[in-house]
Amino acid sequence: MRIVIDLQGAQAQNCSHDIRCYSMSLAQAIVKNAGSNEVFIVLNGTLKKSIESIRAVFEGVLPQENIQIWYAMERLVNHEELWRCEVSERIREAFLTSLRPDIVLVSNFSEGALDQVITSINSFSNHFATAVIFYGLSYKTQEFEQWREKKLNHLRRADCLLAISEPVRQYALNNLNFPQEFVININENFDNHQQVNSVQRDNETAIFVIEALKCINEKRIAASFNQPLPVGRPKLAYLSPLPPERSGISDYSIELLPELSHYYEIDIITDISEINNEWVNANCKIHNVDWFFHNADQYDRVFYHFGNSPYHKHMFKLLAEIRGVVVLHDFFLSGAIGYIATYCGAHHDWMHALYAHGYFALHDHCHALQPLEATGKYPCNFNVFRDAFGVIVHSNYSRNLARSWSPEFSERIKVIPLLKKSALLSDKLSARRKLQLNPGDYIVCSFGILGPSKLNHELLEAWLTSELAKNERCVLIFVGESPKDYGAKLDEIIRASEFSSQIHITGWVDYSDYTHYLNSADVAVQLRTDSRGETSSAILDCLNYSLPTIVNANGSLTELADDAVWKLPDKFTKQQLIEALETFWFDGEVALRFSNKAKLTIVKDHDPRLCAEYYMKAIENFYKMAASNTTALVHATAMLIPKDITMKEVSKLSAVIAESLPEKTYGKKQLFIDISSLIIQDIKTGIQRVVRTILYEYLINPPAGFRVEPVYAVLHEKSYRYARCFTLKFLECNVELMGDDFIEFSAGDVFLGLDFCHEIVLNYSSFYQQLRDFGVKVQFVVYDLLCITMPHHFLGFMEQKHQAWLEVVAENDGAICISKSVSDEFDDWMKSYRPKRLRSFRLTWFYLGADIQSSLPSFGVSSDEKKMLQKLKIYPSFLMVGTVESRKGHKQTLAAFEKLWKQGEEITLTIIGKAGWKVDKLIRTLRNHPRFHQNLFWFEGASDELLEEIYRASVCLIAASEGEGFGLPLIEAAQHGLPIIARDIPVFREVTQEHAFFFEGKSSENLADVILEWLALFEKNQHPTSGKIPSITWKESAQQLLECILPKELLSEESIH
Amino acid sequence: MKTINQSLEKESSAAFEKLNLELLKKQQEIKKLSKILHGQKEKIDELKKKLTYYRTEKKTVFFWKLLFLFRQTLLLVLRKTRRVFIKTKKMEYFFKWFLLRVLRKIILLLLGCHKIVERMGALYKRNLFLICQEIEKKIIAGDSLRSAVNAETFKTVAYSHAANNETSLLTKHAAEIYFQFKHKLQRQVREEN
Repeated sequence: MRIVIDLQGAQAQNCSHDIRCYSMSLAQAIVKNAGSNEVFIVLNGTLKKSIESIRAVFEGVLPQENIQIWYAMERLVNHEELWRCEVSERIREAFLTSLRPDIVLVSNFSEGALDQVITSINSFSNHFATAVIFYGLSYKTQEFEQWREKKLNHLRRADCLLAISEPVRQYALNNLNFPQEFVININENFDNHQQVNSVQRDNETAIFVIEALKCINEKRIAASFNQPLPVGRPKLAYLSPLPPERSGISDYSIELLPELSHYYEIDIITDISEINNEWVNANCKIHNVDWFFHNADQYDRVFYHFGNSPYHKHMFKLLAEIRGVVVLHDFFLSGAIGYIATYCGAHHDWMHALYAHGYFALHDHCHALQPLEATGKYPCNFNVFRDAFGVIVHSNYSRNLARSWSPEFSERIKVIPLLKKSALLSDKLSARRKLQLNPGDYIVCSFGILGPSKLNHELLEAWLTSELAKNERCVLIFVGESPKDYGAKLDEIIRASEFSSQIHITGWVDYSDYTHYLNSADVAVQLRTDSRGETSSAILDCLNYSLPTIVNANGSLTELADDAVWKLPDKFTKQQLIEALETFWFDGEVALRFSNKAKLTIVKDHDPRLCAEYYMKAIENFYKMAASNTTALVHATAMLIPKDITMKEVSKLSAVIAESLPEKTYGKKQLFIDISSLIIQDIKTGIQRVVRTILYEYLINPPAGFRVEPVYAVLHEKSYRYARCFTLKFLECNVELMGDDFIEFSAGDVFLGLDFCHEIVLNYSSFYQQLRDFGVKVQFVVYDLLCITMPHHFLGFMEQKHQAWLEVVAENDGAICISKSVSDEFDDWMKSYRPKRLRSFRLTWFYLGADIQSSLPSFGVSSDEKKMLQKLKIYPSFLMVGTVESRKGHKQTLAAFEKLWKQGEEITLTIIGKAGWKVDKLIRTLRNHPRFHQNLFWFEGASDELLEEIYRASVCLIAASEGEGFGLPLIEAAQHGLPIIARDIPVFREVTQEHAFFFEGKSSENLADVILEWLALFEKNQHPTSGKIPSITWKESAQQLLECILPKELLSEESIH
Repeated sequence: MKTINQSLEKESSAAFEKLNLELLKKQQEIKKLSKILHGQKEKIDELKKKLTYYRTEKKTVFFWKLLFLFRQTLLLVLRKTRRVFIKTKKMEYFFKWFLLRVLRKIILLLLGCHKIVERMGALYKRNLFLICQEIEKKIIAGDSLRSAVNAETFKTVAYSHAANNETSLLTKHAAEIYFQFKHKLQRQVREEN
């Protein structure tokens, strides 16, 4: 049972402190004692102040996703503003319905007259039972008489009142005239003034309340069985391929329509000029699609049949405009979408369908060798699921596919078996005569269009090897159209065999011949691989004609009863197929047993009348649920709002509804990755390398259950935007997609501040709190605290800015540092800053990757650079990598080298990195140095390709920096086997794990001595090598980061795609 | 036999002459069209100059003025070329295809010269893109060119996506709800009247 607790009782500012506390403690006790019941807590977002404290109370007890927020129209409390209250009541009920509760428990019903609390019962939706904790009704003055009366009317619609004491119960019975069985005292065990502690009392009350809620729910379920069927026959628009269109769905519709017409007055919507069916022409009105588009209002129900063929091309657009119930005959619709894109110019729709799966699908498509390669990989059915009121599929296999591809939609799916009218079996001999088949032959048939996915070649090979082939009275017939290439291959095998006269491929046959073959066959073999969620009608035809049938357990075929078909494993061997064929041939009894059971299955499970009834019930149920969706809410609220309402007000109302009923963006949770800096310019710093690489990893291989959305913010806007244009360019996808809309978020999403941008983070601090209120987890990557720990190395304003930035980070849910050292520094900073927090803060760290090749490297080495590269190889070259900044120790190192050069040491110093700040003098010295381009080299804008060359050409890396977040060059050097001389700071000890030659002190003499010492060891080959420095790839780094940002239960080893 | 041959020859040469004449006509028409297009190119260049000027202004109103100027130019092209060109179904198809190409070119030109601040630019770019898409959709759906490039198309896109308009501060989902409301309210007013 799903219990939803409306906890406005704990939010209301006007109600007594006792009621607020009681509401909280009861809710906590219910969560604690819920057992197998699922509990959700809903809060009114308008009462902002209380949200964080309530979330904090339930932290660790209830997943934050189970605390959901909705918004009311803010109102001034007076009678003129009554419409706002009524609109808010409907928003609340629509929101509650969207959570699909079994029962809603309202913690306090009597507030709202003087504040923003909104409570109502069944004024818009009656899909769930409602129980109310009843404290009595306040506001008895005349001023509030109308309000009080309204509240009473609502209370009468509740399923039960849970009075907090016997006197309150008596008040409800005597003063408000509620019936006896309607009001329950939830504290009757404690009314005798028993001395029990408050925790025990809360727990016992909670258990009592849960039991009461269970009873109410059971009562409601029992009542729902007696719900009347729709009165009369509602008008239904039926959209499906129909004969003469050559689709299995058109034949299916012909069987379904007469049965469905018992419940609905059916009009056919089609653009075909003439339907080849007498029943349809005699019993249904026929309209074209254009007419329907303009007259859809005339229909009570709209019923679509979708399949993966061009016959459905008009339905995609139509469904977006005129919503209805959908039967999904094929789970994959990518073939149809691809067709529409190629032949009807709707390329944009196709790209959008791929985007719905995630950027990786678009990337796959744009970098595929074949233009339609992506159609086999991605179902592209998101829009159908989104726009349909409900989706009917024919197998649990399809439902499971939906669950894995779009988990958010799985609740709107119903499985109804494929309907099949029981066939009248005709005489086998006469059927064979009509087909000019030998009456005495033993005929094995395979029905349906031939193709690699039907494994016809495997059947052919098995049959040729079996005993059957050796008997000239055994015949193998493939009944169905054969695609050119595949057919040619089969023909080749058949011609090459010595039994070619016993094997036939019929090509396309009409319905009459199809039934003759079904009547003529002795055994059917229907194999399948790479199922796309389709349900085979041909197999049911075989069972319908009592044929002993061999299948393999692939896709929906697994659901067939084991005694109705001979079920081979999904990946069967040739021998297993031969065994099945030969058993049926030799053992007539076995064949007969399967034959009898086959017919029984059809009669029992696929009876048209029964299936039509299922359809009717599903359609009615879906329409009932749709009566409280967003569109219905707009419809209902439009009636309530005053005629002179301004469009600005309408805009506000729309925003409130959108926030309360967020669209499940593409059916998955979102992982927002902030790239606000990268989107402006990639300035090729270490941080941007991290952002680029991690972003690419997540886009191509997103975590299971999440879609990755790069986002950015600009100053002075209210929200982040999707970085769609940038991301498509980033992935080199040459497609135009939707623009950079504002992001839409819902509970359970995750925001990761991966990029480093002071201004944006400081400006958006309140937006992050809005995200957190909503149940979005907000975390930031912290690269270092150097501006705080060594401010003298940075420009004056940086310390203050970084401090403010860290304060914003500390307000949110967590920080992920790029090393343990940074994490320790952050922890120290937190201890000294002591942020006021109610919820816990998660501080973790991850390591960066070392494989430059995976970090989207830049390429290119100029001729000048090549010459310099040759020169630096002359003497042993010491390398420094990183922006030239005062803290990086370039000055000390250069001075040390000057000393060594004076002493006659023939060694080279190579510096790679752009000029930073506070180093003007050093740069002048470098550029005008007498050894420049002899023993001293400086590559300002080196590409990654050149960097790798220099790593290879050098003998040692000098890491002289006084402070670093991680020290990426150290592990890159280790990757190239380059020994390291590093300053003795904690982060370098952590990264190198002691496999470096450490030095202390800031004097040049000291460093010069260290270099000499190292050179002496190097000559003897006794220097510390970097080979044992542990390093990880960027892929592993991305995985480590993921483990830090996502809850463990959501992480799985394989991503969904 | 000789007479039959002669008459056949006569007929075929007459037919050939007729075809030749038609071909000449078509060539003239194409010349006319290319002149018109050349004229439009000059206009576009002028627009381009104006856009470069407005770039410094960064104001939406100029953008929309330009957009409507663009629309007028497009309509002019349509008006002039349609009279000259459309004769048969096949030609109409070719014409539509040709016009689409021109349309894309013009929009690309506009996009190329329209580089107001990168971030804001994304919004404007999107509007132009959506307009183009909307027109394409209508043409593909079989609408006449005149009705495809009508003010309504521009308005629809402008309403829903223009910067500084009523929905510019809304998310896509909220904007969709807003338009549902708007249509609903308009309908209520109509019904009451």
